[in-house]
Amino acid sequence: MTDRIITTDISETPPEPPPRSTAHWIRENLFPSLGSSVLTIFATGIILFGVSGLLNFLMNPARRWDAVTFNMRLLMIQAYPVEQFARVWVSVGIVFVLLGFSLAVYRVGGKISAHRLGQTVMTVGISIGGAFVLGYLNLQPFFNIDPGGGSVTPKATVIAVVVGAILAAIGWGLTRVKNPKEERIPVMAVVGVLLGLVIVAMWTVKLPVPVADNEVVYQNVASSTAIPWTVIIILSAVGYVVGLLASRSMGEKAFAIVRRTLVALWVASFPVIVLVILRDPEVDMGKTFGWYLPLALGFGLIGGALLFYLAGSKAGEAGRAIAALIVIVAAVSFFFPMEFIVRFLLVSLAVFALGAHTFGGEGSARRAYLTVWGIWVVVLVYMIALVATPSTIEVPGSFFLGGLFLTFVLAITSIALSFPLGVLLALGRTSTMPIFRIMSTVYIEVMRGVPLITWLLVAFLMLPVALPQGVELGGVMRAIIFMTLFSAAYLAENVRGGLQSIPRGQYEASEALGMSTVQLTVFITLPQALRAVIPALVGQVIALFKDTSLVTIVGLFDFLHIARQVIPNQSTPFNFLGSIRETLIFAAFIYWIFTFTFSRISLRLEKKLGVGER
Amino acid sequence: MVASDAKDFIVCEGVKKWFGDFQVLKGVTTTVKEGEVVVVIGPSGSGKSTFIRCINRLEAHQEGTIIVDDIELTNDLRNIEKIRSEVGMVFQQFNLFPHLTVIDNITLAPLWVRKNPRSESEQIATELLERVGIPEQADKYPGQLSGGQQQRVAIARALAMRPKVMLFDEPTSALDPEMIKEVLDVMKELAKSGMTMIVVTHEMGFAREVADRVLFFDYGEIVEDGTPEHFFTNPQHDRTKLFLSQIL
Repeated sequence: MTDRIITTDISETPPEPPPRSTAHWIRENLFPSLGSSVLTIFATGIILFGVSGLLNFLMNPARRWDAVTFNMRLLMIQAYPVEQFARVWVSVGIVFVLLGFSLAVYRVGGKISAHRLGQTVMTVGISIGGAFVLGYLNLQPFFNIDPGGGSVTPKATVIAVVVGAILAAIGWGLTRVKNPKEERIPVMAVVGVLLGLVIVAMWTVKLPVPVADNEVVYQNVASSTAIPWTVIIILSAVGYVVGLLASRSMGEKAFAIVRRTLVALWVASFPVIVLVILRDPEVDMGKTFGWYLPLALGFGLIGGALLFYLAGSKAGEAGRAIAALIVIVAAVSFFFPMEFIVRFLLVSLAVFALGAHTFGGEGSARRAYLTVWGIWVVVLVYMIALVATPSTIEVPGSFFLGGLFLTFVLAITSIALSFPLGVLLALGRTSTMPIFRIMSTVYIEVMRGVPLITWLLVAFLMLPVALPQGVELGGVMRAIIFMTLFSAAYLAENVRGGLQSIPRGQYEASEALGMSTVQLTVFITLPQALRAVIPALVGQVIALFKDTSLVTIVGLFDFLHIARQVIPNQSTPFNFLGSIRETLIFAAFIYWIFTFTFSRISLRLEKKLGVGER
Repeated sequence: MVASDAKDFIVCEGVKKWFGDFQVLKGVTTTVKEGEVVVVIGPSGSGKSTFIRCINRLEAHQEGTIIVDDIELTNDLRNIEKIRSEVGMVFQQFNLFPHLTVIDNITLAPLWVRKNPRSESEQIATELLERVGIPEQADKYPGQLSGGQQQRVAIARALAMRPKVMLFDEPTSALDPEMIKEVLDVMKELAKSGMTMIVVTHEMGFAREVADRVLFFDYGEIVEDGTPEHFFTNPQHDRTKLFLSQIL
């Protein structure tokens, strides 16, 4: 439109920064003033003594690391029957293959320069060598976590120093290649090399395995994990390559479909893994074809026909009346005995009927609405049917999963369920309708005002009394319900913060276009609010993941419970009594790996979603 | 020019409005005919923005009547939504939806409020972007556009609803001087096409060139009401004379 006259560009490139010596850098950054110098020396002391003490503690011959390695299966999945372990590996395999494929499709990991990679490798090498030297020196001036000390043997120190020196040399070599600052090494290639090393390590590195009390031999990682892990890692690499080829060769439109399918696969993978693969339900064909299938078909088709009418623009006032009628029917259904699945379906139909006018229309919108209804009915019936079918996996105790798998089931289910509830509560709290506002506020304040551990005790001591006769909920289910309710209250407050950050003009613009309150919320305010609070939401996810460890108090065999209660009390087949420090250190390490990954993902999400921000 | 037998499209009778104890509108009475371009000018705080915001009920008036296209504005929600979908509005701060692309900004309301099919909505949006001169920006986000381009997208977004009247609330006040012209050009073209428009602005050149009628607001009242010629060359009221002497 406007023609711009561009004058001759006279801008210059910025001047090269003057070269700085290392001594100069140290003086400027570590010892700039007297106060800072004192702090630097103090902090260095803490790091040196800490590393030395920790290493001596970890390497002390008194440590029973065999308690961890011997019980790895117990820590991961508790008492899952060994002859059914193929199910566990298939589950892990699905997740890894999806992961590999997604990493390629979403183009995770850019390229780094040889210089940067070299520096990282050098740092790792120097750290390993340095740590062992510090350990060998056995600096323990004022705390004595390793009585006797001197656990880091000269042999181990020499090996570590040699390995560290080799790494440092490789790193130094990398910084000296041609054009070291050019970013040309793909991060994922580095990851691939590391995974290759992991495979090699699995076949060569030896772990302590007890043969008698207080007597261990070092054996290769049991072949029961080395083979499946090798296969899984190779498969995920194949998934990555396939994803890479797809993203390069496919057109924009076809690729968008691939991405959408991938999201659907991720969403579906969790219930399929837990409810179908791991749980192996005992499907009752009679009930499936005689009850669930007709139910899904009936609701899908009759409800679909009704919604088709309601979603059309001609329904008008009559449509609203019918929608209101369905709501009443759904409400009344709770006063009559019937299977819960029917009530769920009726309530769903009522919600869809109410939204039909807002989200319907002619053509594509109407079809899309009906499609969503169809998918919802199928998913709902399928899930309820699966949960209601007994499992064929025979496990001592109440639930078929334990250990890290149970921790994940608790965390993922609670997060997934608390999300919609939290958003609804946030909308209720910011609503202009006093009844919703007061109810949401009271709920949030009560839920947040009581510790989660108290709610878990309520779930186990009081909930069974409060439930209607004939309804029984397993321990895991009760824990999930209360963790969901608790987490939703916190989520709601985060989302509310996001909602309040939306400028007034957004509301005015939407209202001026004639949007209804529901449309305004769904299309304008909620998407922006959720984007604004992603860091807080991920913080919430991390907190909930760690909070799952509280279920140990009500006797569920989650990861921490096994590490804290089960293994340290083991006396057969080997005596691991009192090995709690080893198991807890291992547990802390595993929790850290996952929470650290979450926070990295959050950083990436923040950057990615920042694109369209003003 | 407006045909003399044109229908009265907006009729305001004694419109009064208070913010707390402060009276912003002190009985505004005026009529806007179909196809008329009315420019509202006046000093800050004179109630001119509040007045046009009352016309699509972003602000509720407390006394008097406002009738738009034969529908009276009351608290009845259905009337309000109907009127809002026929009255387009452009804001000083653009108020584009930052999380949606330009094309999605424009098609959102036609899709979900008008219930038009997607293909039709997208075609209209493309035509409108052509009309406001930025067809190449369709897939960008508002944050990637200049102020002038954003305001033109906002105009396209309002036009996509096929409104019968367009309200402009100081559309150029937040723009760099270089970008004001590109927005005013779009508005001039719109006025020539016969759109009914009410424009609150400080752009006297625009008022002189495009307006059929100029309203001068002061202290919540219409002080002067006449053709631009009359307004700029022969104002009746002392307040108008003072205002013009300060800005011209």
